[in-house]
Amino acid sequence: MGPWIEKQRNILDFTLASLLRRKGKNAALLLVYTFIVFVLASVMFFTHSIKKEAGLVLQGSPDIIVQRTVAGRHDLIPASYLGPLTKIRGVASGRIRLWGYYFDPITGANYTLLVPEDFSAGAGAAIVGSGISKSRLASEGDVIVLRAHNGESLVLTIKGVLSEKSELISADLVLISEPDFRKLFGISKGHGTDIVLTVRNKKELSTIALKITEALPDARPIIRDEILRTYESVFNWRGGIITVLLAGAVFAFIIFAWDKATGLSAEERKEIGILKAVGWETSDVLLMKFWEGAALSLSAFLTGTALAYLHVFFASSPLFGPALKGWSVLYPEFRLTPFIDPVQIATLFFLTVVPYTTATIVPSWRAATVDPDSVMR
Amino acid sequence: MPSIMEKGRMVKALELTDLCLFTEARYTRHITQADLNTPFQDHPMSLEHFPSGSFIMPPENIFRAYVPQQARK
Repeated sequence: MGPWIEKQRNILDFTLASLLRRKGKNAALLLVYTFIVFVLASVMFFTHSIKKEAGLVLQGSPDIIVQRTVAGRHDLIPASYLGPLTKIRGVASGRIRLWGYYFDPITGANYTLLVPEDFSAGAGAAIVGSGISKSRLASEGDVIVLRAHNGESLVLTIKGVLSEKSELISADLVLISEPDFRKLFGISKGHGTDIVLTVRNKKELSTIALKITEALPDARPIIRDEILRTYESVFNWRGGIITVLLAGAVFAFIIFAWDKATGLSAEERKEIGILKAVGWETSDVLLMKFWEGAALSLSAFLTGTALAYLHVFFASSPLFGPALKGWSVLYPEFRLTPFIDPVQIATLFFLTVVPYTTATIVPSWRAATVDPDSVMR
Repeated sequence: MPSIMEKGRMVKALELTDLCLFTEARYTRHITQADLNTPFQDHPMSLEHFPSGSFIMPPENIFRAYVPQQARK
């Protein structure tokens, strides 16, 4: 085992020295290679951990939400719908939920107003998300004024700010009391935004959803599984414009790397000729080229992946910021919990390191099998 | 993990359904609650124009032909 390791070490030593001799060219390749791995790994880390986090966090969302649709749009649901829904066998309880959107002309942001089941702060009070607190520069004890549907002003005193840690789900939330909500939007007592149902046996969710559409044809039930599935498919990293944009960069890199790996320069051919002339075997030359490809692609892979980890989990993905933010004024500043899928890392490894390393070996084999004298000429 | 548990508790207490990722439009704020024709919210030729709409995939059921529940049986 000793001499074998010694031989590999010597060849690797020689390879690194040979790589350093062509510093500029190899550094440029390493830089582009690392960047490609970095972007791909960032997308993978981001989408995987956001899917995982959504899956875990939204486990507690309501069993079934029943919306009413009118002319293809979500409409207010009459309170009278609650009776037939709770009568369905398997439904444990039901509640009318009140929530809606409010466009704040002062900051140009959209807020989500929600009436919690137990709102202890009472009428005239509000609990706001930390995103709103930051954008309105408002903290506990301050007042915010919202414009009601009839033009009147609704003055609310901030009784609390939701924790910054929960910004991923609560940045734009304004929790208010039921009377304030109805006053603000002019929604009568007989209507709500939607109805949430609690089901005894979670296995019956889809059967109950079917019964709901039979009992109330204009109702649209959304079960918890659908919510979880939506987040699973929404951030499919193969989907979306990001991948389309990335594809161009990846193909440009493939051409660049292919060109670099398969076409040997006259200098490299000469080097192989000299090595053969001084007594190197063809297998030694191939081994050297293998180490050259492996050293370059492994460095790029490891650096790119490490940088992507820092980018996504420590710096909160500033590169995706503009795409994620879109036109929204209120954007949560969240730090994702690191979840890494080993299969994805392995896929990235096999898509980057393996093809590059093999691509470097083939032309060297061709050069190494030719007579050294003719290669050196 | 503690922060995930904290968020999970808040989701349960406030009966939340979505992550607050894109607040620019109602169907990007509440992706799971959007109705079937939201990207064409203003008129049939009104194409999706919010930047975040290009970042996320359309809901799964958009790809399937819509069949009413009764007809499926």
